[in-house]
Amino acid sequence: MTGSQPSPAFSVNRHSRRGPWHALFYKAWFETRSRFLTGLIVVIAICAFMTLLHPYKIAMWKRDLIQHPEWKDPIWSFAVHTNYATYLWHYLYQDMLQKVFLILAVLLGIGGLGREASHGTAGLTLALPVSRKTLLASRAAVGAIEVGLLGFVAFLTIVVCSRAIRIDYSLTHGLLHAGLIVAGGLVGFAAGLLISATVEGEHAPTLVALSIVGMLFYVMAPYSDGVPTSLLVGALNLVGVMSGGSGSGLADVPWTGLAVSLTIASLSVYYAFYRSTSRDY
Amino acid sequence: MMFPCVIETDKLSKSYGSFEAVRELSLLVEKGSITGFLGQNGAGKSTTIKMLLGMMRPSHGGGRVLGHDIADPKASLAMRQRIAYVAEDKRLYDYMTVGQLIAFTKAFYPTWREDVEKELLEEFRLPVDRVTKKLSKGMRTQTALLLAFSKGAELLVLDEPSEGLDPVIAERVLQLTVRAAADGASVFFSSHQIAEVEQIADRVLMIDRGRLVLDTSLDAVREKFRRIRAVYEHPESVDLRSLAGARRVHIDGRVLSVIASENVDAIAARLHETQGTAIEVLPVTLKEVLLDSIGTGK
Repeated sequence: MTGSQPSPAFSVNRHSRRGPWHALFYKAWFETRSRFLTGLIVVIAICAFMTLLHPYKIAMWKRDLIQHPEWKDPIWSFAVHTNYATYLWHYLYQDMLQKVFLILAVLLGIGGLGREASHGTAGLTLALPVSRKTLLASRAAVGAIEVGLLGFVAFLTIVVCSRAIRIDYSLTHGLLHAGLIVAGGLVGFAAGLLISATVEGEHAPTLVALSIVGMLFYVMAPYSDGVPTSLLVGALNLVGVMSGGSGSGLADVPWTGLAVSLTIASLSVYYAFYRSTSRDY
Repeated sequence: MMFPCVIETDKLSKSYGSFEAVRELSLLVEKGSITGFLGQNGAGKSTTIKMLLGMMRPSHGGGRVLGHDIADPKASLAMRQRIAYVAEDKRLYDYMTVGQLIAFTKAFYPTWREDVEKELLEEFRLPVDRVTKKLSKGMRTQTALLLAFSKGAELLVLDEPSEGLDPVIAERVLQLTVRAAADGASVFFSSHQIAEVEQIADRVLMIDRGRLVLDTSLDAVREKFRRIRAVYEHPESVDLRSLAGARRVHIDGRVLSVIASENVDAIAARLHETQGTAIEVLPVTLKEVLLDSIGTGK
């Protein structure tokens, strides 16, 4: 279709007359939608898989208890296999969902003016009559909403799949842990913004971000088990913040770590803003 | 008569470490004019434009665009509301269709010209439903120009606007540029096509190695600039340095040639006094003036 013939794309024209903020949200959504939708599929798949697997895992565990009484279970095994909330906490909130969520959140934060400079579109964006702060704020807002939505969808998937296998699941437990996962995700998202604002190149920010997350989960975490940690190190433990306690009470919320993590996230966003507004493109 | 200026810079400079990309550039662009901004690749044209638009901070010096201080982010914001800019590489958001990109851009400009948008969409035959990453380079350029001309801007800053276009469309772009100026806009454009500059520009600014080496009107080039040639036994012995208007002297065998921007009669008289023979005063083209200016920015 060429020229001024009516086209579906032009229905968008009418809407975008709503104003610059609407247009900037639209642009930020366009930039991140493939990552977000991929993340949505991954989160749903992981949550559905581990939830629907529960009856099978329990049957396996019970069979193993009978057939192999000599096997020594890890200390957490009994609680995980006798309490559904603890099972979800152990396999999802403390492990698979947490890892995937942090990676997705960091990747959602990658982009912005630095990447546009690599793509050659920074001139197009910076010529618009909007401040760099506004540009970054629109990206940050859309990204934060996407992180929140991913957490909500994870919660919803677990609730729906729990119903499907006819197990009652505490909404309080689900909301509390989804909230902690989202809080950790926001820290990761802020790290993504910071890395994008400081590391130059098209793919370098992604590589740096994934290296940091990989180091956190696969290099440092396995060796940190049982190591006595000071209050400060504990507070800086993002993995611990995202896990929280296995229950659903206020005592299961790592308040100090949460406060420290969110403060660091705020500082990261602040520095990302500062860096983006002060550098040349 | 002095016209108000849409662009004025005062010793505008940009350095990267010890490398000076733009050196003490002081220039004026008059309101309502079409000004060609010329220079070789790497001369500092794009860096200058980026500083004017607030994308880069000057290392020294400053400037004003449409009366707004280029170093003040708030002023730069107000200035960009009144400017249309087409970047050199014409890269567009490759995840948007042409239609979506138009929709996105018009949201920022209350002065958007729907009539111009419609006219250019029809004329350029742009596929509104196609994502821009699948456009040819020529179509990308046309899309970028459509966005620029439709903004209803007071100042058009065009970096190589006709690059990648076929001759017919390139000619049309020049006509549109002239029409925009006739409608009251000022145009500041860079180009490698000297013929284009000659065709539409009122003034020419040229930078070489970051320094302004030529600032003149096209009328002055046509009316005042001349090449004066003379034949000598020993042309190396002729010294014209003290004469005003003698921009550069070339010696080719026994022929001494001077490009003069003024004072032509006095220079010709000096050649005559210094035993020059077969003295000729010839008109010069813009191309000759520009080529003559290259290398003077050291």
